[in-house]
Amino acid sequence: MSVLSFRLKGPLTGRIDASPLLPHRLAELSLAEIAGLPLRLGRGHVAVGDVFDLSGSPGDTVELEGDGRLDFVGAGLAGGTIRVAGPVGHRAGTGMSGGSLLVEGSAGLAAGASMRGGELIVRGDAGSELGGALPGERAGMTGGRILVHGACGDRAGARMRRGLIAVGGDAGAYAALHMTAGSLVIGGRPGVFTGHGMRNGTILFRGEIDPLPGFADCGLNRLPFLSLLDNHLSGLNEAPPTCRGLTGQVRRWLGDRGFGGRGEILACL
Amino acid sequence: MSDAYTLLRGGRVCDPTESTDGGRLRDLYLKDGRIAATPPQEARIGEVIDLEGRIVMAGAIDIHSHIGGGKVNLARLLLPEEHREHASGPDGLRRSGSGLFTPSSFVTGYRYAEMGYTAAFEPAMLPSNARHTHLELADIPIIDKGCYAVLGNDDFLLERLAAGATQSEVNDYVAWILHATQAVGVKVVNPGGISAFKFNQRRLDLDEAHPHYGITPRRILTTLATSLSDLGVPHPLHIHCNNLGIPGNEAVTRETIAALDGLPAHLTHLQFHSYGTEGDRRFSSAAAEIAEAVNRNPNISVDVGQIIFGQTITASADIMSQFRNSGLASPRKWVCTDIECDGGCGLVPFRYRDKAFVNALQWAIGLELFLLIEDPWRAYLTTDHPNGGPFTSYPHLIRLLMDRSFRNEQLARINPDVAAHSRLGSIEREYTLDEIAIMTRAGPARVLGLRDRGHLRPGAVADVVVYDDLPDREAMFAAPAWVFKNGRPVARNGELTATGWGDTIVVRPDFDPAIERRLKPWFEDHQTVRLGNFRIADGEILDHGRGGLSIVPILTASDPCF
Ligand SMILES: [Zn+2]
Repeated sequence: MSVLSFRLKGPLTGRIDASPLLPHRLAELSLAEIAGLPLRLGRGHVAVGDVFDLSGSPGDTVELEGDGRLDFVGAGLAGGTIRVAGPVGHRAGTGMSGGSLLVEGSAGLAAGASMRGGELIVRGDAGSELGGALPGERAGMTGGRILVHGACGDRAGARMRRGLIAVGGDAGAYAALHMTAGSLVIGGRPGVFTGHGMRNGTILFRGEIDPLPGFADCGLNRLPFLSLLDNHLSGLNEAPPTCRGLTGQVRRWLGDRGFGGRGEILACL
Repeated sequence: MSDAYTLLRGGRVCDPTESTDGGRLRDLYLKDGRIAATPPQEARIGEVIDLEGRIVMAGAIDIHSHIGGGKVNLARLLLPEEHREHASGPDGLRRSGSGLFTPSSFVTGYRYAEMGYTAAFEPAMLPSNARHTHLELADIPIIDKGCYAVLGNDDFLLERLAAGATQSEVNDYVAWILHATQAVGVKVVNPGGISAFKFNQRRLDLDEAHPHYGITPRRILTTLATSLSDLGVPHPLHIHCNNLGIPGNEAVTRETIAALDGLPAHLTHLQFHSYGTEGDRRFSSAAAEIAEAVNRNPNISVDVGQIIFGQTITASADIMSQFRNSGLASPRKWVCTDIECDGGCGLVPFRYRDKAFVNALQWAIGLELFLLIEDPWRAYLTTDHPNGGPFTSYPHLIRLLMDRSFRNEQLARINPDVAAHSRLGSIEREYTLDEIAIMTRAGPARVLGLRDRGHLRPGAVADVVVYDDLPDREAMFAAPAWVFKNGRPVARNGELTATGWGDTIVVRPDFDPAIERRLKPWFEDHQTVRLGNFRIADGEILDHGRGGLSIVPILTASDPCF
């Protein structure tokens, strides 16, 4: 396995669009060619080699030194692996359709938004719009998996259609806003207005809440599928530990009926 | 001011206001932003550009293109993916921008200039949106621009007409609006229909009474057309007919022409109003009947609103038709909204598909209109940007008109039922360069009353475009060899080389200011701004020298009738 590493030469002077640094786009190039590629820096451009020291050999894995000003890391990733030692900026992994993006630090806004496939792992916290919809898009995440060890901001899983989001910490307001399908597992506490406008799909967490008035209380249930989900999570090497063991008896609410929805909020007791 | 002339030497000057022989070899002198007469021997010639027989035309004029205002901005917001996919950064000359069929304001100016267009007219400025529209147009560089104020569904006018207002009161109101909104014309969109929609009406025919005000579209149309004629505004009423896009609407289009009874009028995006109901699918071309009506009525000018296959967005004040079409939205999202009871606004993204019978027939209907309307002085080249397609498709459209074999090749590719239903394949006409120069320059200039644009006679604004005479007319018109705006070169071989600011073109007919006594309480009771704040001052347009104002002269009795 060949690994190509990018180490920052110094502090960044502005926000960088790191979307060109995808393994499959670089695999056929020499180090010198990669160093000459242009990257957007603020309103202008810089060469990759002006910002990064390169080492290793191009192949199916890219290693990046992280920085909160690196935006679009792994955006459009279709295969291979990107590992980031540290944080990333906004829109990491947006629109990715395959491969794996591992962020060892935290991620900014809209990580994994409009994701279609692949796996995004964030060991720190994630900002708002995690796995959500890009502005103006009717669909959010339509496939793949997002595993966040820390907390996330508002509107996680907004307009989600398919796939799995597991957040180890607390979630912000409006989680699963207008969700049409898919699963959102919250290891910590859900925020206010959870499930607003959801039409289908599942939100799962631990402990009672007082849901929005659009949700109908369906009482206590034992749902065999929760064990299947837990088994699935146990098979993933980076599933947040707090998202494990959400099985047994749950209180179930159905909604958001204000939108004709039949989605479910499941509170594990 | 400089005392040196710029000489464009040895071009084939194609100016149909002088002659129509396909362009004759002559030199062109530019000085102080204008075309100059041949100077005396001793005059100082600065720059000399050898045109080596290339084709020279005046700058092109787009008479109907939605390039600014609330509607266009809503369209941009509705389709952010378009702007994500088509974005460009600053390059020292251009500012950053984005978009393909709803380009951002700076990009709009660059693209027009690179294509040899030096003026474009925003046709749907709602008076309550006028300030926003002008602010946005102020950010469109290089080209001149102007706006048509939309009237005919505004509650003030409808209420006054219902109360029996005289023609002269309406004239004063129309003139007041033209002044206050810094407009160059008046457009009426689905007269009465947009207002009727808000009273739950879903279509409105020419003699159908408005459900609340009790007046008919016919009354609104003829009153407004008479106003512009009485006021001497050169551009006659710009009419978007009733029942846009509905099969069988050709009847209301022909009735509209008849109702005007000789009054000058401009029918816009005629293609969308030329549909019959024949055939198995109850959708057919009525282009021949409509073209015949246009040919017989010299008071009527039109622009076609050709559709071009591909993704675009339809943006119209005609909320009635946009609501009806919202189910066809592709991608599936749309907006319809009222604007201060002044009008409406509907945005429906749409993809014209060449294999879909209806779209393919729309394409053929537009081309039939171009080819069957005989007088290019009264039929102008538009796609109703962005409704039929983006303005950047004009070079392709010009090739369709000038090159019959290319046209028939395209016809052979689209839904095969269309060739069977349309007479397009049998039409032999090919537009000449002179006719293209008329329909894209001299014609629009004449119908807008722009006396110093659209031609290359001494005194004209030095908006000059030089084309390589290529057999592929699409390539020729897409990338002119040189474009001059106000005598300054701004593009070379289809690439921008300089930027600058054009004028805002307005018209200012006389009126009795006593109309403000009626308008003032109306604004206070029903509008969000007071009358004094509503009016746009010249200084707002001039903006410390960044913008210019160009006032179109009012027609007088001695002017030859349109
Ligand atoms: Zn239009």
